[in-house]
Amino acid sequence: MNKKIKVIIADDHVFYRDGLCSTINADMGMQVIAEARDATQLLKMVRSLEPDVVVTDLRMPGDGIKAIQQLSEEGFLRIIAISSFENDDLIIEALEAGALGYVMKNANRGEIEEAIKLVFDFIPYYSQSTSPGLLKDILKSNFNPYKEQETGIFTEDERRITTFICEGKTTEEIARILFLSTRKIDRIRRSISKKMNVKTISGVVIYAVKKGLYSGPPY
Amino acid sequence: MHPYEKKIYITLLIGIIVLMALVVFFVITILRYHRKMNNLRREKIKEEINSLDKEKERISFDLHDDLGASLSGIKLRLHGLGGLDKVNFDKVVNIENQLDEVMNRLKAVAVTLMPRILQRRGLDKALQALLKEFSNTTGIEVTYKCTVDAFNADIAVHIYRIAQEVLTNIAKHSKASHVTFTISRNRHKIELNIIDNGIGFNVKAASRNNGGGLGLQNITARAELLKAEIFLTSDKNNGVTYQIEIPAA
Amino acid sequence: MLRERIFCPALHQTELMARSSSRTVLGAPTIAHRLPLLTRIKMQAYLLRVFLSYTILIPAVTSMIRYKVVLKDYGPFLWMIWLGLFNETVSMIFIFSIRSNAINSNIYVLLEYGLILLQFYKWNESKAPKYIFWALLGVAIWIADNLIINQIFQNNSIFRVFYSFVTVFFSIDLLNRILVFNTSPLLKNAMFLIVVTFLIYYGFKAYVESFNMIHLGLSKELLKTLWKILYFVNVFASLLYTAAILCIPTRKKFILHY
Repeated sequence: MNKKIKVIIADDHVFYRDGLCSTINADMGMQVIAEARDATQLLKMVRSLEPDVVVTDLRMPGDGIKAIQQLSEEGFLRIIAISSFENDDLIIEALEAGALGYVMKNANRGEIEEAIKLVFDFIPYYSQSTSPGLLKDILKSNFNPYKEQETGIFTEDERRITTFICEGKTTEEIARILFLSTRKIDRIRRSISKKMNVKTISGVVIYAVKKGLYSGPPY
Repeated sequence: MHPYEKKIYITLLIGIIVLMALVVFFVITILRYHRKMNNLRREKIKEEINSLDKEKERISFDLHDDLGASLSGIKLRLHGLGGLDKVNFDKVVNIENQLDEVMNRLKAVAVTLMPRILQRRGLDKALQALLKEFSNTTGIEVTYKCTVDAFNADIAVHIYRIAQEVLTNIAKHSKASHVTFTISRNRHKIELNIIDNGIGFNVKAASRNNGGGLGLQNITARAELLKAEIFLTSDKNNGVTYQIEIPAA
Repeated sequence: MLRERIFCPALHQTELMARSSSRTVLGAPTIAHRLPLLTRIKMQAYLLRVFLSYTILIPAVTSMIRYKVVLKDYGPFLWMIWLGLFNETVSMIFIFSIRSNAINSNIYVLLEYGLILLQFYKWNESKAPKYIFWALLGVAIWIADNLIINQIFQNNSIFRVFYSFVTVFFSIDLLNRILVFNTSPLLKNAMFLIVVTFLIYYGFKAYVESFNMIHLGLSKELLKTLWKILYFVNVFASLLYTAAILCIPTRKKFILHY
């Protein structure tokens, strides 16, 4: 795809906006077409410039959550929320309002670009620094980007291992239970993640729960 | 009785009655003004502490949200540096790690100043987090038990601060290896019990020495706010028991 | 002229008038019905007074019930009450036997003074030298009063006036201290109650005893009536003491004395 992903960012913090801008623009596949300083500006810019992906802070002047809600109702679904806190209630609100993914302000290298690429393809993105508390809140929330229930793209092994992952077992523990080598477990896990389009354990759990693959209590 | 004596008698009697009346009046006004003074004192302390707390909240917010975000922004700009050879790339990653560490320290300071978890998840969770952090930093074992299900928001902040102050004391002076921390409800009182097994201190001396630099001023001020009573017992090398009883409806 | 002392059941003292004339016989209640009417009335009056002064029993009993639980800082005060009860009893015995309770009363007030000083020492948590000074001064005055100027089997007032004043001054001092440092309601504060009672009781006592010390040539009747007032203050004091005992704390509260 030669066309660059068009991104609009929104944050009231100048330094952070700068950093965000330079990171995104450094990636060859995307470009920041506008910067907003508050919710009202964000709405105006998105409506007039029609970007591909929106990356917005949640704590800024104006109601960021409401803006996300309005945008998703108007059809702009590819929204990524940024938060300073790992256990922020606003993240849940943003997800329920229509955001498709979230990252922390203190994101790791490459996370923001990855998030944008996935969300561009309408695939949800969950931050690598998702805490167990946040995971629990997400599972409890109404957020569900997966429209249909799972219909059988996973093998029997993969289903079983997914269940173990959701129970919080490590690769070594799973290998011991199933009498398989850790390498094999790793391979299956990679395949699971690939099929789910997630990169973290949290992502696996969220997918499994929201899609009905796993219905027990999360670890 | 001689009539003249009768006069003397009546004079004496009147003298006594007047004196009695004075004493009674004295006692009544003492009671009234003492109560007023206490209320006034409590109000004043409340004002002071609340305004200090607000300051702390503001500073915490500024530290974390403002400075913290700036640091993140700088980190992102480092992310955006392209075309680096291995050596320079490693250097940049190193800088990013340092920035992460600064951010963590910033967060720690901000949390000590004003723990957001207190407002969001309540006192129980906040105390658990506080004690866990305490245990990790000092290496002192902590046993925690809380049997109260809900706290009034205004009481919660002060209990938290008292706990912070006591834990600071323990960390700084006690040389203890174990701390037991219990909050329970006893009829109309909330009881906070903190017991350590350290070297103890001279309670009597501290009470005359303006708290002896043990943060006792802060603790007593907040306790007074809450109309709570403090019971401190300590024997040499036998640890300290902090007992704070807070009346709660 | 023999000095006469009017019957006055002070809180812990029964100072009975030993009349020089033997017109009335006070004592031997068992043969009351054989005594002339005047004597009987006087005896009833005496028994009433004894009864009133035995109101000391109430706080004594209460304190025994609470003894274990209560803060040992208040020890001297409790001992004061028991000593008072003891003295009442001893006085009764002496009055029925040798007609005068002067000796035991004189010794008793010295002991009471010592206990009061001890109690203030514990309450004020201050240095001993000050209290030792007052104790020694008290002993000196007692010796002067009971052994030098007068005799021990007389009812002597100099020491009593002295120690009443000392108690009142210490009480006022402690009262002010309580007012400044205390944040809990005063009416439930044992220290406050005791100190106020001290003020009232020993203030009165100093006042009334001084009439005994200074001979103004007033009649017995007049002086007797003055003493009668002390009865009621006595009863009142006993009740207040009981209230105070009920309020004595079981644990030591931590208070910052800045």
